[in-house]
Amino acid sequence: MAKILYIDDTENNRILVARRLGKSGHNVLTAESARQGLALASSEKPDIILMDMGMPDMDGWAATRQLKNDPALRHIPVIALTAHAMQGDREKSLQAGCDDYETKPFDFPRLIEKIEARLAPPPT
Amino acid sequence: MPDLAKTRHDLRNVAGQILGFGELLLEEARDSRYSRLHPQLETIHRTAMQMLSLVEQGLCDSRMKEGLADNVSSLSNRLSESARVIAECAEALHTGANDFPSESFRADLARIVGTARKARDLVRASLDVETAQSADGSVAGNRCVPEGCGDSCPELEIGAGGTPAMLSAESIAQGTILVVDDLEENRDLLHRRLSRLGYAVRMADNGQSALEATATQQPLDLILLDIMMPGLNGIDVLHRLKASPATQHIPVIMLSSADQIETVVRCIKLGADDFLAKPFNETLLMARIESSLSKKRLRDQESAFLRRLQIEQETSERLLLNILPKPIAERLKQGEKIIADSFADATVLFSDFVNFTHLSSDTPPKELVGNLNEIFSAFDYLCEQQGLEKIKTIGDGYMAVSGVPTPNPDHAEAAAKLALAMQAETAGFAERVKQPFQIRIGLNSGPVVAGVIGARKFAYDLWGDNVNIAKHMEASAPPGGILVAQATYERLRDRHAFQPAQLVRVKGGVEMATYLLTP
Repeated sequence: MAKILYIDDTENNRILVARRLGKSGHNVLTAESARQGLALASSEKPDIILMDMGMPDMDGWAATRQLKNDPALRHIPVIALTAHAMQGDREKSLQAGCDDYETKPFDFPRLIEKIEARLAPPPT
Repeated sequence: MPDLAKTRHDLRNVAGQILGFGELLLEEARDSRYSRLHPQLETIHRTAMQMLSLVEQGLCDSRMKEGLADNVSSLSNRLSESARVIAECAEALHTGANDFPSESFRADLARIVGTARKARDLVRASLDVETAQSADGSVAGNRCVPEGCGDSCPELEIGAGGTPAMLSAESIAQGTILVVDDLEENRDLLHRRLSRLGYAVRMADNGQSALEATATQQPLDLILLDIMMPGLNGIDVLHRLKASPATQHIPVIMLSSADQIETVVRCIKLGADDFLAKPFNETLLMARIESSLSKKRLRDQESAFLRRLQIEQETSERLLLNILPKPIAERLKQGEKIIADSFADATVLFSDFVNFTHLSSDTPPKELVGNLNEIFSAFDYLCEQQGLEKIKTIGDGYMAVSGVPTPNPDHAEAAAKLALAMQAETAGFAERVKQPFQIRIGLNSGPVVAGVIGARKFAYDLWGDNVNIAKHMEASAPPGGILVAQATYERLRDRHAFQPAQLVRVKGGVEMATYLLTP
């Protein structure tokens, strides 16, 4: 069981993702803004972060850059989630330091597979 | 003009949320005790998928560039209709039942209702240019009516909707319809109505010419088929349409008299999509036509998508087979995550160029890589010929294994043949390019472990002491020579000529006897 932090300003998405990932046996924390997410990341030290990119105030790209600049947090993998599905979004996410990228609406089996691949212990 | 990219983004989000909740609820209600919830849940799910594909198709980039002018009203109608259907089904479930599978079930239904209303408002605010004034938000005409919502969604019944005049004003219909009826009056009536709505209409006055029309004319989107006709009747035609792969995907609506209900049931069992009783109710006619057409559009979309998927899959399979042995790729595809197999007996081959660093400082990089590529490609070919598995190239080094992943009792012999062929190949190549290319080769035999590790850029690789010893053999081989360890020598001594060579010190300080394999 992994501790997953999900940051999204849309309540429906937070409920959906928490339920889905909860069902596959993970412990899901949610945050409704990038700031709240950053605070939770510091205090809870999640195993992985799922980050919505299009949030008001501070967006996911800015939040990821901040995470990846923090020596205490930069090791946590960040999966970018965006509904844009536009060309260039992927590059933009990876440039901001995201480790992977998924588009909304969610393909849950694929998302879970990606999360679990990231959580797998590194090969020895 | 509203910001269509944003509208697309927002609608995509809400449709995705409805779909997500719909899927959750369907899973929770899977138990047969809740089977009476299924039809409406399925309607919600299906309509949400329809909504999503309407957004993705209708609001795609190319259409946005074209300004979308002709499609806005059609799209907006279909989207609000979908949203309305979803909201009503969810609401009916929410109020109508009390024994839900879980506590959250009712809350999720309420979320679906709220999200569907939000979708309708979004559509109305950003797309609904023509019907924005409609006070109650109901949309005239062009209804795509899902089945399965039954009596508990009373407002879904057709008839309260638009008048023919409103329908014709929309001029939004697309598609080619074949009307098959032996009575001229019926054909004319349908022809006039359908053309007025913007459909392309073709006609046939008997079964035989209907079948000919499907065979020769351009693609049809829908067939309206009269049951009672002399000669080939509607049922015969339906039979043949559904039996032929070229025509079975075309939706068929049967035209019948009110007293033919048993025949109609038979037709639907044979694959007809729907039926219409004569005399036609105009609104019902339009609703059923649009419903069939939109189902067909979805199916067409789906099969196009499947075709694309298949092509992608074939491409990725080809790529996979380029980097992994076929049996290993198969196992990874079957879902094995970690592959590590022990092989009781195999022969490992290493080769390396003599003085490559020296050579490479004198040769332009392009020419150097070109030379390496040529010679390694030749080695790849020789490997295949002898049935060895190439493992990798490491700089100017080349590594292959015999007896892995498919065991081969004669692995040492195959490896020896490959080694001799590689030396001959290199000598020939050096002469051709007038450069002093030479390789050393080392062979060793024994148990090894082979497998795939890593999360990306993964590769099939080998581990074990015997691999290291083979590498030592290569490093100690004279230029142009093939040095084999005792284990390989013993397997080959009766079949090849060897010269004893110097002792080689391997890891741990052990000294090993070695032999030079001679042609």
